Amino acid sequence: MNTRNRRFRKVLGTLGAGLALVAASFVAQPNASAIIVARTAVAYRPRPVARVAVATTAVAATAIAVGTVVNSVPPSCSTVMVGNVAYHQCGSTWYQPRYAGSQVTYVVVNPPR
Amino acid sequence: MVIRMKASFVSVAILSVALVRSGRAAPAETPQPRIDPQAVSALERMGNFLRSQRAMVVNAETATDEVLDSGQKIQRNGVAVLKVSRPDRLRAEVNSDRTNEQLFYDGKTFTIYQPQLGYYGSFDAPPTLAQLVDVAEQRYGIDMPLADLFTWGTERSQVAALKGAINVGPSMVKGVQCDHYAFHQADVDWQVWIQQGPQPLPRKMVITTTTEKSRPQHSAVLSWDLAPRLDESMFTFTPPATAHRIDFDVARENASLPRQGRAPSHGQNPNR
Repeated sequence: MNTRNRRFRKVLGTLGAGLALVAASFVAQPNASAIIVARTAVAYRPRPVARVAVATTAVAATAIAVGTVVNSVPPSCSTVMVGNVAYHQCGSTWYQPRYAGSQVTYVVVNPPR
Repeated sequence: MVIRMKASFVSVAILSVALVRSGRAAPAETPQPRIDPQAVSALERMGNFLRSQRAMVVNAETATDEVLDSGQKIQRNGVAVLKVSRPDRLRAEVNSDRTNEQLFYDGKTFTIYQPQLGYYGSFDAPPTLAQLVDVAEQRYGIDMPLADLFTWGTERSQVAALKGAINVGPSMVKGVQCDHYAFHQADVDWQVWIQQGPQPLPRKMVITTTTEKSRPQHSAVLSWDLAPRLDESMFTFTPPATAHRIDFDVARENASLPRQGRAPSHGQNPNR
């Protein structure tokens, strides 16, 4: 039965360790502390895997670990296409947008160029 | 006060069920039935009716509780519009304080598109809506809006999971005369208001998550068009020039699931 709880979106479950390194210029999000969302369907099968836990913001800072996932990037970042792939470049940090469920998240990646 | 009202509500329902049962010469010592077969058959009738509809447009006004760290509940409102052509077409728009997304399914490809962000994701989809709901949820972690509409009347609706079923009584929803039913399961309590008469449509739903202390709720008030004009082209996503395709973060553990579709990779034409 516990597996059913995985259905809940953990909007701010566990922050990536990488984010703990960072302390600067958060983009305020009013929903930052919502942890549980009511179930929206009666019939479903328990998910095999919990959602990717994401932090609510990204920061314009230097030391963000590759693999850190955030659900927004600073507005100052620029969108860059490398090959056919979209990135957000924020100084020396590159984010790649990805879907986690129906939510667009941003994963810190090694610079693609 | 509220609890007492609730208790008398339930006991009246149980009593009326018991009276009906005794009319059928049920043994006097039968414990009070917790599952009213009439409520279960009303569910099945609704499911069969929904499945018999080829085309429909459903408009849902939703309210969904979120629970903050402090335990405080916040209600988010949203609107979802679903255009469905069974068995294998869906177009949906979901707008809320949080999201603005469009879903496309043409029997072959499923696409989710966030026009405000300019991103979309696509995957090769299974051939029916009911299967799509499964794959989207299990493999990609996407909750389909009003997913229950596609599973009622199928084995997935799990009548066996019901631990309680009562007919609460007649109730009006937005001017439509309905019957109000309440169901109890291990992890959720839920209620549905079913239109009276020859078209047993769900007009309202409330789902209470009972595994959480704060018991957050989701509700949806539904309006229906069963004779919509649906254009075939509305089910296929044609990316605007400014939109970029991105990947789904499909968890590694999911790889062991039967694969209904390839995970997308960059540079593929999502429209085949």
